Amino acid sequence: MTVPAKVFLRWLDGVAGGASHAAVCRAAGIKRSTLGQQLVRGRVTLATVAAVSRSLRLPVVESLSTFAPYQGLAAGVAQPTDAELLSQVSDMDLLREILYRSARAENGSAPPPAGLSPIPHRASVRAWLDAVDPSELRQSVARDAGIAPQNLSAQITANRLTPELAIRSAELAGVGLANGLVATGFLTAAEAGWRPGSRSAALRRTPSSMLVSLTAERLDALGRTLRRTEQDSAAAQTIWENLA
Amino acid sequence: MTTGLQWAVLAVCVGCSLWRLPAAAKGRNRGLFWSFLLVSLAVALSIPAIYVQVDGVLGRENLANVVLRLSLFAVLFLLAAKIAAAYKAPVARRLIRGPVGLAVVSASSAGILAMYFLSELHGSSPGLAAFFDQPTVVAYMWIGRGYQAYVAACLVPATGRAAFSRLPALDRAAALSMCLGFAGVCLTLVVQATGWHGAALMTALSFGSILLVAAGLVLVWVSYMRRPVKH
Repeated sequence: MTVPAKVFLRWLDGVAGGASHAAVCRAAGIKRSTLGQQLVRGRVTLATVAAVSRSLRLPVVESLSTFAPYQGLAAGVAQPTDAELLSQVSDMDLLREILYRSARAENGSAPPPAGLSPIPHRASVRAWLDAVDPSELRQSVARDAGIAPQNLSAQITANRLTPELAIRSAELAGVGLANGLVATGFLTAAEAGWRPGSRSAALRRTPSSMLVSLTAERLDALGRTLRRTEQDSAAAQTIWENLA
Repeated sequence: MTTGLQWAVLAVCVGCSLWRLPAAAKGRNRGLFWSFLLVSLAVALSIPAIYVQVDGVLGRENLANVVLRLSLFAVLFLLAAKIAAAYKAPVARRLIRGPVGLAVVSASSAGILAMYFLSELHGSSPGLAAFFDQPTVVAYMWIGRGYQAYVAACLVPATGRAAFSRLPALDRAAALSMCLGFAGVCLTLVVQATGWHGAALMTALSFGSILLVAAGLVLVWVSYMRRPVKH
C-alpha cells in the first residue's frame, strides 16, 4: 500500500524538478503535514503518489509503475471485459435501462436515459469482484495477501479495497491490472485506459434477459445490505428506547 | 484516596440524577432517574461522614446500612431489566424479572432483614466494620454482595455481545463500559472470597464499577443526542 520514502523522493526529484515539498503539496491538494508524516515514517501511500502525479499531469498508472512492487502495472493494463463494465453500472442505472427498454418495446420510442452515474457506485467493489471471479477469488486474494478473510470481507462491505489488494485481485483473476483500482475509485476510468463511453456501450449491447437477471442479483444484494442496516438501526433504537 | 473516589462517584451520581430530571419530568425513561437517585443514596450512605449522620437520625442501630443494601437491590432490579431489554437479552431479563429473578430478589431482601434483626448492632459503624466477629453480619454482607454479583453476571454476556457487534463505535463503547462495570461487580465477590480484601481494593472495585456503568449510560445518552434526525 506504500512505497519507500527514499524511492518516492528520488521519483519526485525526477518528475517535479526542484519544486519544494510545500509547492508539491499545494498543487496536489495534500496537507503538508500528511506528506511530512509519511516521509518521517518512511512509507508514502499510493494515494499520495497518485495525487502528485495528477497535479503534474503525469499518467497515474505510469507513475505507479516506476515503483518496484507495481512495476508490471502499466504493462498489465487491459480493456475491461463487458462483465466488468456492467459491474460498474449502478443498480439504479440498470433499472433505468430496463424501464427504458420496456417503454421502447411498448410505445416504439422512448427518451433514452441520461448518462450513467459516476464510478464508484455504492457496491462497486463487491460487484467488480463478483464480475471477475473465476472461482473462490476472495479466498485466494486473502491467502495470497496474508490477511484474514474477515478483514477482506469488511473492506468489501465498506465498498473499499486497498490499492494493493485491488491490483492483486485483478492479477489473480487475469483481468486488466488497473481495473480494480477503478472500482475502488482510486483511478478514474480514463486513467485506467478505459475507452470513453465503454460502460454505456456495454450496457446497450447486453441482451435484456441477461440485464434482468443481473439486475435481480444486484437487487438481491441490495436487499441484504438494507436488511443489515435496518437491523443495526433497530438495535440502536432499542438501546435508546430503554436507556436514553 | 478512597474517600476522594467515593465523593467523586457521589458527585457523578448526583450529577446524573439532575441530568435525568428534565427527561423524567417529560416521562422519558423515569426508571433511569430513580436508579440514579437510589445509587446516589447508596453511595452517600457508604461515605462514613454521611453514614454516621444519617444513622444518628435513624437511632444508631445501623438501620442506614439496611437502607443502603435495599436501595442497591432496587437499583439493580430496575436498571438491570432495562439494560437486558436494551441489549435484547431475553434470558437475562427473565433471570432478573422472571419468577427466578423475583425469587432471588425476595430471598436476598428477606435474608438481609433477617440477618439484620439477628445481629447485635449497637452504635453506628460504616460498612458494619465493627461487627464482623458476628457470623450473622458476615452472612449479611455476603447476601448483599451475592445479589449484586448475580444481577451483574446476568448482564455481562449481553453487554459484552453488544460491545463486539456491528453497532456504531459510540454504542459499542457504551456497552463495553457497562460490561466492564458489571464484570467489576462480579469480581468484588471473587476478591471477597479469596481473602485479599483490603478495604481500599474493595472500595476501588465497587466504586469503579458504579462509575463505569454510569459512564456507559452517559455514552448511550450522547449517542442518542447525536442520532440521525429523521425528516
